[in-house]
Amino acid sequence: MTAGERRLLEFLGGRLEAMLHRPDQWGPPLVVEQLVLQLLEMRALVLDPAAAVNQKHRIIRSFVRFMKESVPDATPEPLALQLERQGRGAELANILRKFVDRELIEATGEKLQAAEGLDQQEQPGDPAIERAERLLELLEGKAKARMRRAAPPRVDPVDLGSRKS
Amino acid sequence: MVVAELVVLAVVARCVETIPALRYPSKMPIAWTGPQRQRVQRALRDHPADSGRCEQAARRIWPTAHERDAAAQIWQLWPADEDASFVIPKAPAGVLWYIHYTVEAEQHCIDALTGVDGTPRDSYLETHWKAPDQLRWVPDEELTT
Repeated sequence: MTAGERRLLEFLGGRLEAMLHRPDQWGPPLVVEQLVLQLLEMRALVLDPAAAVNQKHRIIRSFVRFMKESVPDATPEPLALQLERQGRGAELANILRKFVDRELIEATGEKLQAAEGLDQQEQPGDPAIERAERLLELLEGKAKARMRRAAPPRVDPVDLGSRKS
Repeated sequence: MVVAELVVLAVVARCVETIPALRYPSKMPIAWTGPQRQRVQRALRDHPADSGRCEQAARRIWPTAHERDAAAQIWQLWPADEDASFVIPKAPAGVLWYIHYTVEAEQHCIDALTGVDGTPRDSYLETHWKAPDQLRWVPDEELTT
């Protein structure tokens, strides 16, 4: 994995975390939903650049299926609109987070299993090992974002003694 | 000569009667029986276009459509490429759908956009959709698996 890919994965993981942590700071709910889906599409592309399947349609197909599981009487309309209609708009970020996590497993789960199985016969540049490395980079990015949010803000002490009247 | 013409006319009439492609001049509605029409109308009334429940409507309409046409199927409509998220109908205004579902039977599409009479399949996209050349037909997964 190149340094650029690693940096991009870290950025994508951090940006997804930021949007789901404070979605109201990223725009109206429909916009947040679209931004999250686009970031997932980019993440899927970085994790598996050789994938022949149209990632956008795969993700949307998966999202529509996910909405059926998560929302009563779900339709293929944006999740944000459906939740607003049901008076559950405040749940958008939590429900999107579940999809984001599930997408990560779907995008890389098989590759991780394959990578585990290949441990004994690891070959340099093995695609399964590479994708597993990408996943670990991504999780590292998410962990760093969470740590930044959890850490108290750094406040430099004011040096009152140096003031001159 | 007259007999030959009569024979030709009889053969043509028989072909029109038996071949669905010839049964519907382009603008004719689908010829439901009374009970079939009632069932389809009920499904469309319960799931109007602005409800977004096009899949529920399609799954209710398909059994009736299948009575008329053994090849009846449910189609999903998707954006044709990766550069669009939604499919946008001409009406109702303001709706956003990731996917749309329609039932095809006897060369007609039937859904909440077409109403109970259906729209001939070959004019369905141009009649009901914005950017009709940016849409693609995908066989419905539940029916095909």
